[in-house]
Amino acid sequence: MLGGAAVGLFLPPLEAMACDGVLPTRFGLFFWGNGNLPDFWTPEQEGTDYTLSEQLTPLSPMQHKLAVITGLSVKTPNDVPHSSGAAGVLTGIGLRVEDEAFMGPTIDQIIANEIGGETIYRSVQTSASGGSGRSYNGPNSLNPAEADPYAFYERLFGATFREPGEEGIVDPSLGLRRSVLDAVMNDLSTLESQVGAEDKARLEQHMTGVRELEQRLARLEEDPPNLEACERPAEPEASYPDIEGRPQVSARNRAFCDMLAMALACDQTRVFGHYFSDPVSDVLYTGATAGHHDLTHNESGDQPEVNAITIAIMEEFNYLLEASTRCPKGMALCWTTV
Amino acid sequence: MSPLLLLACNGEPEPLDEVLERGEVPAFDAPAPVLRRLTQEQYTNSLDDLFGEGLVLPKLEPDIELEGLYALGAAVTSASPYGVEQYESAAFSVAEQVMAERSDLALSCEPEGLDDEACASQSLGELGRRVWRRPLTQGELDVLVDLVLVASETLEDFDAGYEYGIAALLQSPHFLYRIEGGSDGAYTDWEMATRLSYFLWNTTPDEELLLAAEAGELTDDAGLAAQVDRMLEDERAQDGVRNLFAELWSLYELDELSKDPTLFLHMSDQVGPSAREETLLGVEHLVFDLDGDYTTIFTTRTTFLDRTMAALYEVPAPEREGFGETELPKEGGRRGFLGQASFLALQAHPVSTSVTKRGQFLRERVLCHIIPPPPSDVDTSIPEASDAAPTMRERVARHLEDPSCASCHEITDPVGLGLENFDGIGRWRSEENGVAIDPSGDVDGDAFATAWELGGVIAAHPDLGPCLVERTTQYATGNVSQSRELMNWHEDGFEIEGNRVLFLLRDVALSPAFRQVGGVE
Repeated sequence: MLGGAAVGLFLPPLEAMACDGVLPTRFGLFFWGNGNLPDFWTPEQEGTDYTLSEQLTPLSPMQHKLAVITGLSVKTPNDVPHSSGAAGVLTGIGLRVEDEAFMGPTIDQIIANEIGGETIYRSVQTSASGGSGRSYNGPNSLNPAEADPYAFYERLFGATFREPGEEGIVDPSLGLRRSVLDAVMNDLSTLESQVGAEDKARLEQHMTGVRELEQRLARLEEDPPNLEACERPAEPEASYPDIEGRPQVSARNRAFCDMLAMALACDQTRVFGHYFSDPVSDVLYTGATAGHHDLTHNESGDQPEVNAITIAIMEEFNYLLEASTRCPKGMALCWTTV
Repeated sequence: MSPLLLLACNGEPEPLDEVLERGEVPAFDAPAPVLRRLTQEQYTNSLDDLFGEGLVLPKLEPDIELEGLYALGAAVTSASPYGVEQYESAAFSVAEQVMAERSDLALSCEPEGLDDEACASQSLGELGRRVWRRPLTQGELDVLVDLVLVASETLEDFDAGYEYGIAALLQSPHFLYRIEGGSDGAYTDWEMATRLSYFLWNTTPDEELLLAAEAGELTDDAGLAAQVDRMLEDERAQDGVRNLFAELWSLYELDELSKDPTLFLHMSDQVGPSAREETLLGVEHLVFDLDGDYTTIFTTRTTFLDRTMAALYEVPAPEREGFGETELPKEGGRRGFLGQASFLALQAHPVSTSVTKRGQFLRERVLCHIIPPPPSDVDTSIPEASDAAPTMRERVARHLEDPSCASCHEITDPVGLGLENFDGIGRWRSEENGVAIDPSGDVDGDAFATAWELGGVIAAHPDLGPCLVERTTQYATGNVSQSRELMNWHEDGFEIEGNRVLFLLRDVALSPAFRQVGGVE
C-alpha cells in the first residue's frame, strides 16, 4: 500500500453514461488521505455482478452507478514516502524530491483546462478537514481548498448568485471592476517581461486568475441559465467548532457535498476537487483512539480502527454521490464522472 | 568592496572587520533576483501601517512554507485563481472602509467636482508611492487617474470613484509582490527600503525609510548602517523578530493544535495561542531586553506565562490576567525552549508524544541537520505498551535495532526520547504505565541524563549558531541556497559577538547577500 493516498475513480457503465444521448461533461474528485486496507477494500468478484467489500458497503445505494477499478498501480517512484504517492496518482509524474513539488497539473486541472472554460468557475476545491487539498496547476502552483463551508457558500451562493428566472446583475461597478483588472493585467504583463523563467510562470498563473475573474464579472451581467435542478442551497453553519476535541469532519463534509451538488446543478462549475482529508492526515476522528495517520502506522494486526475510519469515509463519499442525485431526474450525477 | 563601517560612540567609523577580527568579507557570487509575494502577515501589517489599524480584512489564501519558512515559500508559490479573487475582495473592502472612515489617509486634497484631475493625480501619486513603495511613473499615474475619473463620473461621486484607485493600487503586482531586480549588481535604494522593512519589521517601509531611499542613502555603507540601527531600535523590530521565530519554529501552526481533551485534561482552544505567546515573549525578552546569547533560549529558566500556561506547567501564575515574567523552579525539570509547549505539544500527536517528530524538529529546524526520507515499503508499526515495553523507549527500540531504520532514527530518536518526561501536551510526568521514564541519551557524542541536561547539550552544540545564521539569511533574502563561505563569515561574527540576535540581524542587513544581486535567469 502506498505511503500516500488512494483515489476512488468510479465510471458508470457505458450505457448509463448516455443520458438523453449526451455524454458526461463534469468531473469531480473525492480524495482522502492514508488510503485503504486492500484486504477489506477489493471486491472478490469482477464484472457487473459483484459483492461490495466491507469498506465499499456504504456505497451500496449507488452500486448500480459504480464501476470499481482494480489492478491500478503507481508507476512513479516512491522517493518521498507520504508525499510521492499523491503526486504520482494525481499528476502521473514523480514528486520533485528537494521541495516535494508536484511537477505538473493534477488531473482535475487537466480536465478543467478542457471543460472548465464555459462556467463562471473553471474549477472549485474544498476540504472537509481543514487541509489545503492537492489541486495543482504546476510546480508550486496550488489551488488551495476552501475549508470553511460558510465562506464557500458566500462565494458561490452569496451576493453574486442568481437562481434561474432571476435577472443578471445590473451594476455599474462590474464594468468598473473589470477596468481595474485590465490595469492589473497590464502591470502583470509588463512585469512578466522583466523576470526570469520561473517567475514568469508564476506571473502567468496570476494572470490566468485575473482573466478568469474578468470573465466571471462579465458573466454576472448575463441572465442565469435556465436549469431545472438549480436553486440556492441551505446556508451552512457559520462555524463548526470541535466537539469534545474532535473536529466535525462529517458535518463539514455534508455541507460541502450539498453545495457542490448544487454548484454542478447550477452549472457554476463542471469540475471540483473535494479533499475529505489530505495525504498523511492525522485527524482525530470521533471514536478513534489516535489520529488517522498515527493509527495506520501503529495500530496492530488487522487495524480495526483504520478499517472503521475507512468505512466511515466511504459513508461520507456515498453522501456526496446521493447529494448529487437528489436533484430532479438525478440530473447532476447523470452527467458526472466522480 | 569597502569594509563595513561601525560608528563608534565618538562618531568615528571603525572598520567592522578589524573590530571583530574575522577577516575580510569573502567574494560573493550574487544569485538571480527573486520575486516574493507578500505573506498574509506582511499584507496585513502593510495595510495597518498604510491606513491605520482596525480594518476588517477578508482572508487571503494561506501561505505555504518551504523548508519550514513562509518567507521562502513566498518566493516560489503562485497566486491561484481563488487567491486572485480574494485579493480583489480584500482590495475593495479596504478601499470602502478607508474612504468611509479615514479618507484623509488616502485622499490628500478636497476634490472640486467629479472631474478634478489635479486632485486625483496629486493624491494617487502620494498614495501610490506609499503603497507601491516607490514613486509611480507618469504612465502608471495616468492609468490610475483615468480609472478614478471614469468611476467618479459613472457613480456620480468622487469619493466612491476614488475607491477604485485604491483598489487598483492594492491589486497590482507592484503592491502584492516585492520586485527587486537591482541595477548593476546591487539592489536599488527603493528596493533596499523594501528589503529592510520586510526583513526587520515585517511591514512596508515608513516615511523615513522612503526618504532615505530617495536620498540615495541605502546604497551607501554609512547611510545603510544608520537606517539599520534606527530600525533595530524601533519597536517595530519586535514584530520582525517575532515573525522570524514564528516561521522558524512553525509557531503559526499552534492555532490548529489538536489534542484529545479526554487524555489531556488541560487542553482548550487557548493552549495553542498561549503557548505561542510564551515562546515569542521569551524571544523578545532575550533579544531586546537582554540583547543576550541566543543559545540561552535552551537553558533559561525565565519564561512568560499566563494562567493557561501556568496551570499546564503546574507553577503559580505570575499575573491574574495576561502574561507575566517568571522563573521556572530548578526542581521542575523544565527549562528553555525544549520545555515549552509550543514545541512539545505541536511536535507530537493528538493523543501522545512523538519521539520522532520532536527529534526531527530539533535536528532539522534548530540544528539544520539533514535527515533523509524514510525508505518506502517499511512496516512502521510499533508495539502497544506492555509489561515488556512499558514506556515509549522500549516501544520504539526497533527503530534503533533494525539497521534499515537506525541510520536515520539514531539521529532523531535519542533526542526525542530525552523529552519523554513531557507528555503529549507538555506536562511533566516521571512515569509511563507505572515505570520510571529513562530520558538519558546523547547528541553527537555529548551525553545527557535528563531533558534539563539535553537543553545544555543543544545550547552547546556547534551547529546551533550556524543554523540560525543560515536560516536568518534565507529568511531575509528569499533564497534557499546560500554561499557557504559567506555563511561561515557571518557565523564567525555571530560567535565572536556572543550569539546576539541583534548583531546577526544587522550583520545580515549589511551583508553582500542582502545588497547584491545577479542577473535575471
